[in-house]
Amino acid sequence: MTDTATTTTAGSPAPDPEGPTPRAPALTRRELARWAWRQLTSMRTALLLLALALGALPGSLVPQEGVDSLAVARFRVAHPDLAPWLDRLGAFSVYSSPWFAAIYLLLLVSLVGCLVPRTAVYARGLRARPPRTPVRLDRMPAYATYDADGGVAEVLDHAAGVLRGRRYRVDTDRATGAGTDEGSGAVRAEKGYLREAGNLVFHVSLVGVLVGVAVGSLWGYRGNAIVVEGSGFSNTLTQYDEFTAGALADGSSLPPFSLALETMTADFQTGGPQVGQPELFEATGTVTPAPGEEPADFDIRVNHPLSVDGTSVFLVGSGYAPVVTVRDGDGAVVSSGPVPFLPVDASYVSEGVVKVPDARPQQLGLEGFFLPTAGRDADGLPVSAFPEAVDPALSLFVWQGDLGLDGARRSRSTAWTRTGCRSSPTTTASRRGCCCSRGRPRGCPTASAP
Amino acid sequence: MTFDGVREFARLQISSAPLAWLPLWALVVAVSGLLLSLYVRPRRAWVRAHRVGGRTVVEVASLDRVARADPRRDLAELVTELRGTGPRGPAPRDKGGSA
Repeated sequence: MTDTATTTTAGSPAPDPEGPTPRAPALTRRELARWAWRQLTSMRTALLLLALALGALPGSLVPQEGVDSLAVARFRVAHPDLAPWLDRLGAFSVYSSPWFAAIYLLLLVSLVGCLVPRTAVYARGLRARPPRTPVRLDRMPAYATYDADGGVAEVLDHAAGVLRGRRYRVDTDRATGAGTDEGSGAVRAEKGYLREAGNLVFHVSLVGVLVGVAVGSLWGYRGNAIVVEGSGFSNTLTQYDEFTAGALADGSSLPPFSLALETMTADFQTGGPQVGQPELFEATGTVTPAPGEEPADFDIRVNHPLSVDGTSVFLVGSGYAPVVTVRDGDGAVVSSGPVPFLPVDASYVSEGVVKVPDARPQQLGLEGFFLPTAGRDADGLPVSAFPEAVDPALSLFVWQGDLGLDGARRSRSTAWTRTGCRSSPTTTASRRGCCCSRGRPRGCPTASAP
Repeated sequence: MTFDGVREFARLQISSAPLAWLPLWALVVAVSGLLLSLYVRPRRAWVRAHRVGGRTVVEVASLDRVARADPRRDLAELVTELRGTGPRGPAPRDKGGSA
């Protein structure tokens, strides 16, 4: 058989059309580099890397820092032994960990390094003639012979037609002295070129997936913000509670839209075995795509994000913001307004802090829990019986001292917890408990008379 | 201190990812490419004719690049078509034609 050249060019699935691998004992640096390149660009490596990249998916079953840092914080509390190890593996931010980036880049290089030569080989194969007719046809896996009436040329023309009808690519070797009585000739035919084309399309598409995801995460950004009913949000960095941007994203030029949140509805099942399970989350309000433009209504539900100017706004959670007014000893208001308390469990027991920096002589901090449907458990501790605000109550400790706000830090309810008073070494914080229910203002001695 | 009421808040996630459509469509194309490469089965075939004495002996052979159930039956069909619609009609069934 002498058709080795055409056999390798025509759609062979072998990824490595080059020569033999070098002998193991004497590898020069150049050979080593060639060998490494060939290994990297082989189909096997690409598959292995793809498997590794997919293997990172279970890793993201652990809450991710960039997605929900609150969940990460909760996870750390729930698994104090596991968390340090996961930290070492970068499991809380899988997709920005160095090992994931390494796999990603290697996979991209491997795919491109494999695709370019294969495409060239395929293009050559498309232009080449179908493989030469073997001398001993009877050694082929399927073989038949018969006698025909016509001459050689007639038979070959007919066969070429039939094979073309069967979607073969056909080429005829004219016999020496074709059409005469003596002589011979052959038709060579091949089909199924689309197999390799499909293969190449598949791998090009994988490169497309990789590039698309990489562009999205390098130039994209993601942030979380808490917006209380009746207030608004404008898309600037200072309005975010958390903000992570891709390495190449420009955080200073966000699309200038703004939202006004009118209602936030969270409905929960009131009966049945699933009582207390969330039924509906819906946020409605108006969105202004850019300053000066007409506001439009929006309606965001879970999995129905709002899309403005290439940016998506998802509803990822809800909670309660008790409206608390603090007055000083003279009855003057020193603090007023809704303060978001972050839910810590499924019944929306929420934790939060009310800061009163204007209180005199010392600043005040109210720290504690919000209970949407207040009750007491068997030990007499305050619990919430249902996630909806049926009978809301606040259970607070009052601290006095230095809130530590002078360092120009933004007040973030997530990061604030228990810094403030207690950590200040210069003042001894004192605390006293108090419990307030809505509509029934009860005396909180430390709040009004320090 | 008074507890005047409760308002709900929404936790919003604002995200922007350029080219977000690309991975999705690339996946769709990738799957169709994969199907193509799985269902298309490359095959080579040869037909050789030569004169021996007063007869034209035709040899037909095929080679599958990917294993199939029964390559011989496919070849037999091809031979039937070649003979059945040949330039001079069916060949006399005197000899050969082993499929």
